[in-house]
Amino acid sequence: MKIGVYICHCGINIAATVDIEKVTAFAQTLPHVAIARNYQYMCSDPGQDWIKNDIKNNGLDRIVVAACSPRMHEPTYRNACRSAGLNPYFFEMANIREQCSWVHPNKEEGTRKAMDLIASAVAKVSLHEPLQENEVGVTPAVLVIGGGIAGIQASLDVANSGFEVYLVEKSPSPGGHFAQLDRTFPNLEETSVTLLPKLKEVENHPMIHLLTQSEVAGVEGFVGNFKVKIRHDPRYVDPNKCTCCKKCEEVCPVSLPNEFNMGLDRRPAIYLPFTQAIPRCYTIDPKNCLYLQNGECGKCREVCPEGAVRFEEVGMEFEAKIGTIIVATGYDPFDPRLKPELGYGLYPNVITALEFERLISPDGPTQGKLLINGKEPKNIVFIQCVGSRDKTVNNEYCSRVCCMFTAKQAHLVKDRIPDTRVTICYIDIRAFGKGYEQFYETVQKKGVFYRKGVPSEIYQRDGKLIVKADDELLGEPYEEEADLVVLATGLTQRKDSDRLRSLLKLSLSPDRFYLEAHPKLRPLDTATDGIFLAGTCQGPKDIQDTISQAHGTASRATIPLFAGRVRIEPITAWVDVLMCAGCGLCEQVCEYRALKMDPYRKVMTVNEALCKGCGACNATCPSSAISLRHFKTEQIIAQLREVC
Amino acid sequence: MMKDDKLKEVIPEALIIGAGIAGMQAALDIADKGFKVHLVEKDPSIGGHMAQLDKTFPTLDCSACIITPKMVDTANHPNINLLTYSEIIRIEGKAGHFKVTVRKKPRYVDVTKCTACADCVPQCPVTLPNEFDMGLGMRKAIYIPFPQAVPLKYTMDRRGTPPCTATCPLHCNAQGYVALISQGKLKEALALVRETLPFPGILAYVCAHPCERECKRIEVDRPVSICDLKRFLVDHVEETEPDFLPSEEKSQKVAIIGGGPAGLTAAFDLRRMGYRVTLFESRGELGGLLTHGFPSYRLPREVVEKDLSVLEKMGIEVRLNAEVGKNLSFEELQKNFDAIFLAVGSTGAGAISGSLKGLKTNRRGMIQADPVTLETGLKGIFAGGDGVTGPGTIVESMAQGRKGAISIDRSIRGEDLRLGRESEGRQVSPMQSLLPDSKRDEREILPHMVKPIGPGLTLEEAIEDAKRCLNCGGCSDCGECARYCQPKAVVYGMKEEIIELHVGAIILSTGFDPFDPKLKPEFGYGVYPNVLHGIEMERLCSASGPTKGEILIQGKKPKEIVFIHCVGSRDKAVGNEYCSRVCCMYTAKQAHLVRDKIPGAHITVLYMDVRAFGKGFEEFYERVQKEEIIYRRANPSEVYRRNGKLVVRGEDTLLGEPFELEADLVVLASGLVPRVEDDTMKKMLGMESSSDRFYAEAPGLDPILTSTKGVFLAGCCQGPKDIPDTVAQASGAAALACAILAKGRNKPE
Repeated sequence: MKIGVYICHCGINIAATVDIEKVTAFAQTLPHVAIARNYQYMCSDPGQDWIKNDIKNNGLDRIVVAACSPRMHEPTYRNACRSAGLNPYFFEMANIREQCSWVHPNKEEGTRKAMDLIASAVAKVSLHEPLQENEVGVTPAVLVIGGGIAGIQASLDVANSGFEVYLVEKSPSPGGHFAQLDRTFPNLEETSVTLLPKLKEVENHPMIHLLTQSEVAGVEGFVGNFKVKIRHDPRYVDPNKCTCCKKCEEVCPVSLPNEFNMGLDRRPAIYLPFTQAIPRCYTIDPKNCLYLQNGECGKCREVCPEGAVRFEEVGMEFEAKIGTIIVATGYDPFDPRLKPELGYGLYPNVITALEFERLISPDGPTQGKLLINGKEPKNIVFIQCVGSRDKTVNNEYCSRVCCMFTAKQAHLVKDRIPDTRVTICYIDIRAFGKGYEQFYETVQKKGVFYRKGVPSEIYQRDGKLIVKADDELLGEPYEEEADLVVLATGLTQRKDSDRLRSLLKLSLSPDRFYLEAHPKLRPLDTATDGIFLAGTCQGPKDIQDTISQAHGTASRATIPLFAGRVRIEPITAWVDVLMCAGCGLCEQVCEYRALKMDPYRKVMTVNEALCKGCGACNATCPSSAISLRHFKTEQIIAQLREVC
Repeated sequence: MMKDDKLKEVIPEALIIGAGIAGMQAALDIADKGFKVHLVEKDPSIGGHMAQLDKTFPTLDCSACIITPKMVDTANHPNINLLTYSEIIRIEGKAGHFKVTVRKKPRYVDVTKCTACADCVPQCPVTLPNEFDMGLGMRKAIYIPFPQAVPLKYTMDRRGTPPCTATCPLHCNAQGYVALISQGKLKEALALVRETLPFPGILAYVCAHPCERECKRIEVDRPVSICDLKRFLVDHVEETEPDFLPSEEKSQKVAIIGGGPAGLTAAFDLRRMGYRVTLFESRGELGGLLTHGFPSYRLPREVVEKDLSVLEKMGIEVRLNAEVGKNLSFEELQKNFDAIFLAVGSTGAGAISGSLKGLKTNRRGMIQADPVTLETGLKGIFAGGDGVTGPGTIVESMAQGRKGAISIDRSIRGEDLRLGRESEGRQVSPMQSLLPDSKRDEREILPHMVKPIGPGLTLEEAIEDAKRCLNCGGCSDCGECARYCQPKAVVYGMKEEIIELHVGAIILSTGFDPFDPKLKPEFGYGVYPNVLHGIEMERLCSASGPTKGEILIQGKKPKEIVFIHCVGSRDKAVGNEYCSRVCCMYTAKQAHLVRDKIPGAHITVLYMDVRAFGKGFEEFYERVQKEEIIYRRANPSEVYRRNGKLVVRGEDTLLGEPFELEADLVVLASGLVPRVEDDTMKKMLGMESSSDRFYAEAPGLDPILTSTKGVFLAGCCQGPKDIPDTVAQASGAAALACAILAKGRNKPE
């Protein structure tokens, strides 16, 4: 056996606190070590060339690199070994940066620890076994969860690349929050200009299966080979027959708050979600339909000239074979009731931004007329950062869009009712995107007052709202009368996000949004291969960035599909069937459902494609029948012996 | 018909312009899908601005550590054709089939041979500011931009002939020998002088040195003493006898009439080419004007003798006291020689034209000769020097001699006399100074032709003066690297390559330029050395930077540091109304790094609005504030120096009162501006700019689509953005490009 040890300076990251020459000399003395070298950046091309050349010319058969965390560069060095003809699992990394030089200021101690870590890596690598990498095929289909603008865009991109798409949306129509907005900043373009053509394209695309009123009920499998259970709720109206004649709507005796209009008006139990909804078909709200609840009424079926109402329709569940999954579940607006000092829910003229959007939308409850109690407001106060940058409600993060949507809303007000006094209370104006600063400037020029400092309280005096705040620039408190207060409510993770999180094994970042694989270089991937994030489920973002990200996610998600195959990690659990007692304890701890009992032999079996090599099973096994390749007990013991 | 069909076909290959993080991400995404990608980068290495950053916000990941694997993956990907040091010249066609012409600039280093051993580096005499370190560190003219560069191959920075050499009628490589003197390589310097000048001693003393008037250094203070440096070499360097013998002997004979500067040079050059040369001089000694025009206290006779002593050794026959018309007949000469060169000086022109029938003179009484070829109209007879041009300088006369020698050689060999002659004589350099004449007159030190010469430079003075050279030509063509390169990878004659590519889709990811803070003169950038901009600060913090990661200003750790936000952003005064989107956060990060590296430092950040909008940004901003970094909402108005310290003056907009802050270091959070080169690209593709001058996306909400079908945007060329947004957009551009490329895949033959 000939082991090569390579020690990286990492510029001064390691060299400043570890005596590289001393460590190199020490490594040379370790058992089986044939070559010990050091270099400024082992990860650079010449660094890797040292390894490759030594394998080829000096017949090394085990490699240890002492450098940074294996998380970043283990694949780099494994590739170097592979390209030199050495099995990449004859490689081991000693982390002398994150676990040594960065945390030990004392050079002497740091050097000693680096030696220990290298000795331990050498001990382990000498017991390594060659492992084989396998490949499996890929189902050429993508599951997109969520039909907001992110999900729509991602679906279109995937479909346009020639792959099948299952677009699963839990509401009766795709469109998401985007459909609720009136206009977009900074160009004040009508939302429908962007949305309508995209909805039409989704509806008519031969490669897209649009599944509304549907939810993901179960996920099994692994990248390239997921099996997804999709539950489809009944619509009770036949989309092929419904002509949207509105007759049913007129006879329905039920009146409910209209979700699409944020409860500002009411809808019947049989309804069209919104004007541009696809499929263009009514739907029945089963929880509130009198017929479906207790068999009474049924008037809609009677009046429907096409016979489109089908109370007998039942839900169904089916399984789809999926290659990769895109999560685009969007956000929930912050509930301003959590900030009781702002009086939301108490005063009817304190509304949220999304309510305001509906109020000024031509297809909204007032046909776009800005009316509060039937009158045009003369004094409007917008309050920013409601539920954002606010540790008292546990949302430290910035919601990224509120500054701009507030500016837009103020602009729209000034356009429609020019003599209205508009005040915006802000902390910092975050007009960072393309054309945003210019828009902010335009809004200021329209006579909108920006006052730094968010209000402490809103209360009513003589039937008028009073906004009480500190002007941080003047350094003095003030009170502002208002007919209407609009709260720029932030974006939060969806309340129902936990279900999907556990189905897909996603992680959350501290802001409770879904966590990406790497904050800089893999913002669209998740820690699970084959599952990707798009849009605001990963964190607040504006429409432009959401669309950009959705395109990107489509790209990431189609890579395995274009390639047609994926590599299976060879570090997996292995069952010694002679030792296995068939107790089944390991099956219970396996997070990945990779273990199954052989019903005849009564021993455990491992599905290597599902196994992630986490090691939970072999730690649980009472008879030590399961071992983890590459982390076998004797390998770990050898490694530990050197540092203990 | 065939051609049309081919144009309709979708080519399943993509072109990506710019190999920063956006270009690399897009390339990897497309290549991973099995399509071929051509990735064109104008710099010698891929990596872009991200490679220059120290840490990235808000997670403080080491930027070089996370980008290096991507760079290596990009370079090693079997589907990626990496074209570094290359530029796009032309793009034609439309989505599905673009025809792209790429110019691959010569590196002057054979990448297949270079092993990046760095043996050339210590030999190179030319030290230049390192662009990668934003000029805070230095590099040689042969260089790799940074240790992790991909491809890891050296590049020679040759910017063209510098003005000194271009101006010299003999094209003496002045920058080259000055650079070698600066390194103390005196012998090599003199050898380099000898490559172009046959009589270096004479020119060291009496050259009118037009080079100095054009020296780029004249823009700073006064020109480099190019001529005096040459004299230093001539006076002090012990030369081994130079070997001027021709490599082959030719049978043809050439007569040179006149032993002045022109005749001597023609004789020297023709003899080196192998001709049998006879030099006729009417006086009793050689030299012409050199000996009877200059007093010996200006041009010591021993210098002339030493220079001219080579003639005899070379085998040139010298006939003194031989005067045409008296003891020498033209008929005789024409019979015995294959060619004749008349270099008779301005005073001899009249006499010679009298004795040679058919030789025409002009109104000034000078011999008429073709200005390009020096042909007189008489077969085999050429004329040059003062006798043709009228009185001129010594170096100009010598250049005439050289010109004559070239014409005679070509005429004897039956070659075209005019082809390619425009490169002779005085040229205009791409680095030519635009300084007005009046300034030049002030700064230039003219030779005193009649005063006695001074003692000349000492070694220390010479090296000192040589170091003043700005090396404006980049590589000085001294040839030292080639001498020391063991794999023989240095190729001086390397030519640019023109490559034609056919692609289905194009992604633009050309990135940004940092705003030039000199446009905000009130902040003193460029005046005070301790006012830096954002990327300079990155290099100063970086472990691979010029200070190895220590924050040092003139060798000292600064104690009081002021960061100024929005320099060149949100500022209509400089035409940049937009927000640069990243400066708030990179400043927060830099403030944190300073706190880490200089625990006791007093750090103040002057901001307008803090825009901490991305994932984890607000949290990071909060963390930084807790590290005793003071954020002041302020309008900084001016940075000036008082008692050796910088003072930042401004108004605290929260307190509503003015303040002054002392500082050892001021860091300007310079914004992002569009690349200068983008304008050419926009014209080429018929694309438009948005009001912020970045590439305009198609109307609508999609930042990737452009109005030109098949062309997509990624990264900062569309507008400022941070790394994750750039990476997401790059993947997005890849998706849209692949939707086109997929149509060209697996087409039935």
